[in-house]
Amino acid sequence: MKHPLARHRSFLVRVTPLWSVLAIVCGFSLSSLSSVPSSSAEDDVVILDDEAPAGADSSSGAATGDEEISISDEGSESSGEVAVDLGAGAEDFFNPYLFDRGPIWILLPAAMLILLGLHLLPVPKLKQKKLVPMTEFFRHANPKGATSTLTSVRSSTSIPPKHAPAEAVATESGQGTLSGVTKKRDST
Amino acid sequence: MSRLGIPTRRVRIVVQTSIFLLWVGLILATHYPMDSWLARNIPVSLMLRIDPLVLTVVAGGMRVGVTILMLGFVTLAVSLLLGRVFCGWVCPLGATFDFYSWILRFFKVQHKGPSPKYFRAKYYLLGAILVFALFGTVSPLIGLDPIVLITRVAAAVLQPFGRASGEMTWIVGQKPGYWGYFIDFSTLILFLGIMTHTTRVSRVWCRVACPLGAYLAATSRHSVLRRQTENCVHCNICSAECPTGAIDFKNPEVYNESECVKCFVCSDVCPVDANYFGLRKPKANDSHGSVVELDRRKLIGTAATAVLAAPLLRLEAGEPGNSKRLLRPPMSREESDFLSSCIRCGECMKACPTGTLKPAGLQHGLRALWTPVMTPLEAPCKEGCNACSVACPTDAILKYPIEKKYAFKAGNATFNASNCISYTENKFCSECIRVCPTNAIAFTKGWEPNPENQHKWGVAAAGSEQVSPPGTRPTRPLKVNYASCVGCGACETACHQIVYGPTAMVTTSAGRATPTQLMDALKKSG
Repeated sequence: MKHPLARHRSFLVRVTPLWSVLAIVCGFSLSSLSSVPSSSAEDDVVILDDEAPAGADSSSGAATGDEEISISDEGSESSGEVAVDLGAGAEDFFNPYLFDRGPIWILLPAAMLILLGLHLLPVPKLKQKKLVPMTEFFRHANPKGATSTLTSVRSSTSIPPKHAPAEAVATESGQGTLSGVTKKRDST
Repeated sequence: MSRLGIPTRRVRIVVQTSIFLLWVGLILATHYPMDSWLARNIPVSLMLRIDPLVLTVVAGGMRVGVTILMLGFVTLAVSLLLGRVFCGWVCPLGATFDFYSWILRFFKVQHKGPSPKYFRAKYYLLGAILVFALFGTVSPLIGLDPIVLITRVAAAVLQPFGRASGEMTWIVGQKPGYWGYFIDFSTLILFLGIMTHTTRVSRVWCRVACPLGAYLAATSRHSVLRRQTENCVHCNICSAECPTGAIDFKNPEVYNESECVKCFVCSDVCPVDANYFGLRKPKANDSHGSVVELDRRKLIGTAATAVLAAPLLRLEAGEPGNSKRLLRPPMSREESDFLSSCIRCGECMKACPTGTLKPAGLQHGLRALWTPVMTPLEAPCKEGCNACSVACPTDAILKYPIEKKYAFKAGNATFNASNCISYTENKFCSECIRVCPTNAIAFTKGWEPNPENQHKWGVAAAGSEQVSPPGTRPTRPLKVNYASCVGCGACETACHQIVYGPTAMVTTSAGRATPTQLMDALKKSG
């Protein structure tokens, strides 16, 4: 029986090159985007007042120590606030804050799980060349008949098979089960 | 030799060696103050940034696209087109295996050809990692990613030996009664186990347990760079030589595209030049002789286990900041985000100049396994250093300029007078005051009136012959000014070098600043 998803897989096979090219284009465009400085640089600046916001009350760090450590921005004239530009200063040209948090990113592992599931699909057996029946082979080799003990030879000769064929399932057409086919072949 | 006359295998070896040397160079460059030519021009965590599994897990786990990981899409696209080229040409762990096999060949050690029966384990592992990511959790299983693993080996197993010569402030066995962990033994045992097994079966990690290999195998199933055979004489040399066991032993014309790492060994060793690689469209029944055919029941079982385990892992980690002794590096994301973005690679530990960053064991829960923790008992966080943030490939430690290091504090030091020898033994000790970079502990060094002993001789200072004037005693540490303390742990390190047993200064994560929380709050308000 053909797997219900088999046709989708053949579709995937056909679109794979296009899919790959699209992925490369997306990848390069995204990586090139990452080298562009963030347009919303203001969002990346955190202003820390003396009275820090609730939940982060102790984040003013060393600003009030006896030996004052200057951690304010050069442009900041107010001594009471400390500006921390999270996006600047580091030599790394990547900006880690280009993308906002959003549920869409869950698609990455989800898509990969689906792909892994597709990898699970039962693979159709490899079509192999039909072997020459041994009876014909031996007939050519030895016209008087072969002494092979192959099942095919058993059925053609009077040697009884080691195992009796399975009981045929009662199907009128004689199709659908191996035993049915076997019985049909035997009866003929 | 390919049919075009190009020595493809040699080209591959040259490329693989070059990339491996680049990786070694980057690992060596991951060192404070990060001013080498390589560190200035190439991101030191480049190999981790091009890892598509890291991209998938971190972006999926955090629900945010970390920009610096977007290079992973390029690797993914290459794999879609050309198959597992990354494994055969780029992966530094794969190069290590190949080099090891090359050495074994000199000793006439023969590998076993076929893959073990459990070679499908990597797919289950990948399935579990992805299910964890779906639930917003980066599980410690990501630590089995090959690039993560070999980076952690360099950082947590090899690096401590390099550091012990001059820069390490703590030496094994220096303090009686305290035996810190010198190297990450779990990683060492894992790596030794892999290499031991590789002696029997070539690239056994790639065949059996590599989650990145499974990831690339699943994506490369329909790649167009494929092995082809013509006039094969079925000598089985290619089957025996294939480092990943991709070629069927019964019928060498059949191979498993998902396991093929495009190393071109088969085309090189073929005596009749029957093997060659070329671009062609995959056929319906193409090369699936001994293919994966996972046990669906097992995979579903794995996924179900991961589904059940994901909330348990989260429960185990508890609320962020629950454990006051869990000290993260400065400017780390808040705990839940940190655990969702840290891939346990150990780059930060490699970069740390003092060695205060160590991989966590199980003391902070399974979910925090191999994540970096500060160990101020051994070494402090160095003043004027941001090497860990520069090295971090996933921005679990946010990048910040050095001059603003103390804008966000890593924690707070607490003072316990009952363990301070200034109080218990009446000795002069002001090491914590001396080493504190922000003068957060005490006010001045000097003498203070001694109400308990006003008319007798002064008190001798510990470790010196200096005696305080009569009626006075040395100024003792009184309290910690939390507003000034940045949680660097310098006081605890100094205290530990003075006292035996529990230290008077203990650094905790209480009051740790959470930069992402601040950013979100400010964005909402503004």
